[in-house]
Amino acid sequence: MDFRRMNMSDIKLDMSEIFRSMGYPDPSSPAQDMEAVVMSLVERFAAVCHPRFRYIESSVEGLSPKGIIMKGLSGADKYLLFIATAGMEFQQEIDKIAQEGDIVKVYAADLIGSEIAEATVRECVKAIEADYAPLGVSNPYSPGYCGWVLSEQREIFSRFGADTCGVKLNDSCLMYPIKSVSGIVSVGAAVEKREYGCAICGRKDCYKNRLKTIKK
Amino acid sequence: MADLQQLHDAILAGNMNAAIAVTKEAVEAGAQPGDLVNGYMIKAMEDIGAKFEAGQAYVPNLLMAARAMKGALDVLKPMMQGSGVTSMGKIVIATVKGDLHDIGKNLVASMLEGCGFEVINLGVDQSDQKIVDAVNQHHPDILALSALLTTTMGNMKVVIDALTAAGLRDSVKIMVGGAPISEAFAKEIGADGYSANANEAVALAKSLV
Repeated sequence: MDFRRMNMSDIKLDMSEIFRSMGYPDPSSPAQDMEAVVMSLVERFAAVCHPRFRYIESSVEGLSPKGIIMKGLSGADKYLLFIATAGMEFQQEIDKIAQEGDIVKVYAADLIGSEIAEATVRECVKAIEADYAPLGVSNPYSPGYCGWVLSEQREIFSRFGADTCGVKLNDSCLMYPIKSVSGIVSVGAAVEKREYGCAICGRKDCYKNRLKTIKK
Repeated sequence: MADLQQLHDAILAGNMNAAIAVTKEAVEAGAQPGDLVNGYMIKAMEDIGAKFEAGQAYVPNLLMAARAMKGALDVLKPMMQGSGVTSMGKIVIATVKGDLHDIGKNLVASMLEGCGFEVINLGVDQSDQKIVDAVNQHHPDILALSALLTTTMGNMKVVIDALTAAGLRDSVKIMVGGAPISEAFAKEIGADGYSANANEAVALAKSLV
């Protein structure tokens, strides 16, 4: 498919995830001053941002996601690779915020950007589910997590040709705009959304598992 | 003279405007920068750190306090030349090669600055060579390395090995942090210290200089 360009109103941000990432024990009631900062930034981003995603059918040949991920992808009839991004407009806006030098805003904007990217991935998966219904679609998995080496970003991106939603890789295989996600899903009659990565990965040194421990 | 306890309280509450206003008032009334910094401002940062450790404050509180501290310090900076207020030490901080995560690093940098350190923030995705060059150029007391990903944490050892190869390892203390890092990992790669959060990073830095 060609890339899909959205408005911020097309994605649904999980605000509680943003406040949870800030460490508030009850993300539904963050400190009022911080909530005001976040809401103001969300409005600012909504005025300029256009998140995008694209997915293509591909294979796992030449890619080596680890066992945890392959288990999550099991039952596949097809594999789809995807790129989702908060977009260059977001990058330009957060760069402006960084220039303004307010560390509180920069911190909040970074977390909002992560959530925009995640919400864009959710829209991407929804689009795949609609396009491939009634087949099952797995959760998305990305290089850099669950032991899947980051360098395989290069192989993933090569399969998208020139149309990578405007996302580029640097020498370290990191994406720019920074708030971008690439990864894989499987599609098939036997595919089901299994318990997600962190729930099945026992890796104690991963930050997501550490957050899980802290939440307890 | 302003009630200087208000300076402490403004920083503790993360109220930058109040912190700046009280600082200006105190300066106009003849307060000495060293007395403000050492008597009230650093104490406020220590107090917000203690609240964080006790689970009574969160990362945004640390940041807001650091922002208020910076605002007040900016008022004092023109007066601090030759005033006897000295840096607690110089720190070069960076996120290692392959890792673009900088929020945790920046939080640590802000807290360190707020607590009196001079911080040179190299940014993210920094190669071992760039970090070695920065140590060579700035001669810091401490090099602080950050990584968020399990796939990039190994690059901390690459940096330490590069410093050793360049003959600089003994000239600088190295502290490491980031979500996948542990005390055991820090020891394994030959770092001098590990901290689990920004507040601990300040305490660790103080112990290393």
